[in-house]
Amino acid sequence: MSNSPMKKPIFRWMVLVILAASLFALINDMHSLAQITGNLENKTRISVIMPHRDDGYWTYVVDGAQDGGTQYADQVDVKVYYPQLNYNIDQMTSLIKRQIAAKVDAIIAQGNEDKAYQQALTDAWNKGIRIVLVDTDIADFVPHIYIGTDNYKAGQELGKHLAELTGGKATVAVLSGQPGYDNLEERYRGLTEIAQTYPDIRFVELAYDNYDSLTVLNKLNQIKAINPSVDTLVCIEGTGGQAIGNYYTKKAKQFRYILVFDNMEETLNGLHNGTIDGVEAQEPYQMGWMAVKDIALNSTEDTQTSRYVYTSIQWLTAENAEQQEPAYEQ
Amino acid sequence: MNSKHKLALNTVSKKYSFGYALLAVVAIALLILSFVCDHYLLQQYNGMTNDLLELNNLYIEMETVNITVNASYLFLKNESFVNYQQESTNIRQVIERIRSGGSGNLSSREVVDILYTAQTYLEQSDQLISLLQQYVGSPSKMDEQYSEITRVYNSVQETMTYINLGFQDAYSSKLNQVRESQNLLASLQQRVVVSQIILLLLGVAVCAYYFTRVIKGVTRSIKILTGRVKEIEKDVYSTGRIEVNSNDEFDDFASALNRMIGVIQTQLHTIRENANIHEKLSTAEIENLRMYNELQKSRLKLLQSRINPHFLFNILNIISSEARLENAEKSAEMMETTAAYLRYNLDNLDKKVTLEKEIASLKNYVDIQRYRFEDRYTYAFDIDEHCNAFAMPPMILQPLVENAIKHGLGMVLEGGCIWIRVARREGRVVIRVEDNGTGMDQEKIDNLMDHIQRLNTESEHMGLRNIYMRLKYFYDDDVELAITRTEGITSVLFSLPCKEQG
Repeated sequence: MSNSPMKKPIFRWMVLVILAASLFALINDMHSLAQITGNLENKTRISVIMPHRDDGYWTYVVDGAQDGGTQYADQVDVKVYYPQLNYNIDQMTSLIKRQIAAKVDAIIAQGNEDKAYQQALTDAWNKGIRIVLVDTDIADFVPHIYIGTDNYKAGQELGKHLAELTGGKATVAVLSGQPGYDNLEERYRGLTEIAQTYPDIRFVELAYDNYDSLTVLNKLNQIKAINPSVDTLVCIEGTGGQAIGNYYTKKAKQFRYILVFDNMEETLNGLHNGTIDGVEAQEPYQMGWMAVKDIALNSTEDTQTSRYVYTSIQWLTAENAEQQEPAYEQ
Repeated sequence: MNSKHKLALNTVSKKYSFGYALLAVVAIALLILSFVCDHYLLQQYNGMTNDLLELNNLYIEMETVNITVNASYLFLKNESFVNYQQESTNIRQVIERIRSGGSGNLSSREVVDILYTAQTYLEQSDQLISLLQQYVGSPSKMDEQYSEITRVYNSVQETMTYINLGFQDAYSSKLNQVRESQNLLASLQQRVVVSQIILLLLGVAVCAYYFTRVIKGVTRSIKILTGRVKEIEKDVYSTGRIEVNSNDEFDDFASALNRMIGVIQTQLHTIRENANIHEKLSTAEIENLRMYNELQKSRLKLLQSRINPHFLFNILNIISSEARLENAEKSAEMMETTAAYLRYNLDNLDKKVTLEKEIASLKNYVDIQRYRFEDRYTYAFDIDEHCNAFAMPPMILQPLVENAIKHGLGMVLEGGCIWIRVARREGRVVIRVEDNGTGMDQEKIDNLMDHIQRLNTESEHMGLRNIYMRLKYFYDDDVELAITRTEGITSVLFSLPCKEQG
């Protein structure tokens, strides 16, 4: 026959496309199943031990770590642990010990001055587990990598902005997280060193918020009650700015100037509504992501990146924060 | 379909067979897809169930071994130590089974962590049991040993706590994984069903399309052949080549039909040509018969005309003898001339004669006419002597001269002249009889020529036409006749091929 069956190319292509689409859908489902049932024993098991389930700064760190885990899924598997109580050092130490028992390949954690915590990390290092500290470093510690802000430098920057904002004249109260955190102490050191070069800037109080909003609000009332002359508040830890952005309005603002750390949704809102005057923005997402990337890329090589990997900081005000989004992306 | 396929599917039965094979392939593909997918789904479900059972088994074994560890620590019994060895071996086997079984458990981070934590537990518990056995076997129990045992025991229990926590996480994770897998499997199951339906529909569509094309092709071929056969019935001669292009037996059939049409057309052509030839032959034969008939008639007339000359010849001879006896010399001479003329006619009836004899006979005739008309007419002979031996039928010149006298000079009372000229010209012999009689105008001459050359007509010019026909018969049609009237001279001219008397 001249018009043989199956001769028209369009018909043939249509049949092939439908068959290919069906087959692709089947294979895709099977591939998804295979991904669920893949073998993890050949991957580098990374445990991320975070101090705080905060829906803010640490969430960005975790997002970065998990996205890194997805990107380097062939090499690593990332699992995140939180203490039952936020910033509970005992529970965090116990989590580290649990990772040692589970013989994981790497631990990503925040540095802390607690001796038991540091001992647990040292035990982990002794068992061959790689240590990556984010946000906060530990000085004079077992070989590890620090990925995070140069906190001393960040404190200095914050001091400069404070002087600039207040015109070199302010009575300042500082709200920190908890004592014993090197990162906060470095920030405070940098901040005060710069501010002290301005004779009319006085630091009258250093308070700790324990990384929870309730304490933040309580401490703010205490500061104002004890030192009514305080006109400038500097939060060198993220929870302070988060609580202020969340619960205060410009009308109810108790201080002339409020300067905070970390660009979270609440702090950006605070900037927009005038409650907060400036934000020293860190890159928490980058910290988590780069920590996993470093482990993934060096999982098959006995090499490490440099001892310190500093992430960038940015000073945000109401003027330049219009286009600013929370630091989710790498 | 390419030429290779065309070659392969070159019969109707093969085309149908291919269609059935296509159906079979679709059916088999559906069966295989169904079997493979069902098997795969069952395997996945079994895998998930086995993973949970295996995990639960590990949990039970861990609980059991921890009981033996506690018993060993608390009661320091050898039986507990032995039990520990047995239980720890069981756990190692379970761990090894999970690791080597390639089960989905290894895809769960929590389970993998448990496996390693269990290993850590076993390392610590082995150390504890070893320390306990040493402590029990040691004659002097030392405080350091006790402290170490207590530390290791605490570590073992701490690790057991992690294992319990790990199992909580692992069960939760595995159940989530099972839920996720169930969702995916349900989706896969749906896709399998959809794919089967699509494959079935496609297969049916392809087969239906294929069979429709095959059936249409066959129907088309039959229609073409039927139509062309009807055309052949009407007019086979103008029927063109039949093209089916079906790549099957219909092509062969069309080729055979084309060959048959070709043969029929060739034969018809031959028949027609033969009929034409036959018709021409028949016409020629009829003409021959007619000419023969004419000739016979002419011979009959000649014979009839001879009866009198014979009779007269005898009578004239008697009269001539009597006239000589009575001294009537002129009468005797006339009779002898007439007798000679008649003898010539009688002797040469069926023979060819020479021009010389014909001229001699013509002169006898002229003499007779002179007796009759005395000096009313004159006769002039201009004969080329080289033509004397020229062969010709008899009684040609005499009728011509007779016609000249009868039709040309009949009304001329004196001064009438007849010229008889014979000459050789351009390899032919030209005989010309001329007279200066009343003659004919050109229209009459044309009518005369037309009558002479139209063979089947009767006319008053039968004599001249008879001469013409006899000459044509004698010279195989190589005779030219011309009748002209120029300056009062009527001329009848015959141009004949040179033919010597043999």
